[in-house]
Amino acid sequence: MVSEAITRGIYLLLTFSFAGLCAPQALAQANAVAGRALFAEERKGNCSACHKTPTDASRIGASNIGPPLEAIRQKYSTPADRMRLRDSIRDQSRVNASTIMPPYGKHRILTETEIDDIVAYLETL
Amino acid sequence: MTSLLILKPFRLACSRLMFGCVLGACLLPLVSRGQKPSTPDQQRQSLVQTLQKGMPGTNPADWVQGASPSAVVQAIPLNADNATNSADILAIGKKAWDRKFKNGKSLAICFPNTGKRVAATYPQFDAKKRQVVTVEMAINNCLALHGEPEIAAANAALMGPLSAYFKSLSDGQRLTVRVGNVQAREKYDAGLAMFQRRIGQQDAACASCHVQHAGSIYQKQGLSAAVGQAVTWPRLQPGGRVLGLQAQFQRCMQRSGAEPFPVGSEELNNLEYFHAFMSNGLTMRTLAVQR
Repeated sequence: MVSEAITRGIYLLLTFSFAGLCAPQALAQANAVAGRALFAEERKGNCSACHKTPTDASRIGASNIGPPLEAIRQKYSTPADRMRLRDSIRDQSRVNASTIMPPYGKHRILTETEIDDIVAYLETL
Repeated sequence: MTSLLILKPFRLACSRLMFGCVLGACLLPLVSRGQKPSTPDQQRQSLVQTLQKGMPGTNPADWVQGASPSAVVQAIPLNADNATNSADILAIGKKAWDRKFKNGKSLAICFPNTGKRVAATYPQFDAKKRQVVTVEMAINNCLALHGEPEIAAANAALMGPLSAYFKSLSDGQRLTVRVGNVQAREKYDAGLAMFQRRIGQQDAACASCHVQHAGSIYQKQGLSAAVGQAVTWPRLQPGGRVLGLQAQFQRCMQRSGAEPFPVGSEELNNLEYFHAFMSNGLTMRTLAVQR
């Protein structure tokens, strides 16, 4: 009985581990599409008003208020970095008091899911 | 407007209350690093220096046309129904300016030199009423004095051309707004505070765009510098509509996700007072810039 439970536990663990390896990528791809739309939408992210996206060929832009957004995956390579990126979208003023960047999460311009979507899009740049 | 409706539950919390959240960072050079600029003139000079750091090699005369050279007005085809260029707008304004009141007077009689070179001194501080008087208020004061119906300051169709014409009588003159006493200084300071306050859901101040990021590109357009803006207002929009300065203040506030103060309110009048003072010494060019 005990060994059966252990076997089932190992099975579930492996199953979720495998799903964990595959699902985030699928999720990221799905969210990145939504994130790309939110990135440009004037009443949501409106990020392209301030940031260039040099590696997004169809939407490079000329805005230069914020830094160009590129090589994000390299710049934010660890889970902690990713969290830092997410937090900076939620409320950039916590790290830069004079920022013009809206506090998207703090002021509820974007939902938590929408912020995740935008992070997923940024990681494709 | 739609965005404001979406933000309705939030704007009560954000709009007026957020006006209490002072942005200090954008104009920090005004109040840090050594001696604090104490007079409005010193503050204007300090602001010019700050802007020049962000836009090296330029000077205030360059900023009058806005940050983008394409902002300079171009000839616009006439529409059969609407006046669509500055000459037509000014002709409408002149007609209203010259119109005889029931008592046989006209607007021109209320101003020295029939209004020529007068608007370059506005906004003014009225010591008796202890308030800032804009060009639009001065026109309405005259109308009221002669028993004529007043025109809403936000009436773009009539007050727009009328105020534009009045200001055009000062074209070529240097803007000379005075802050002459303590009471006037209080209004100026209130305008400065408004200019620096972060507002609304977007948490932005006038200074965020027009000082901190003046000359940068936002949504494909250059952000104009705060210094130089006042001498070209009102502006002509595509299609011939006149856009007053305070209407533009409202647009910026809406863009920031805040409920704007009404045109002609004390808050916007004080803001206009400070804002105009920052352009002192620059040459008036009414309707010279299209927006």
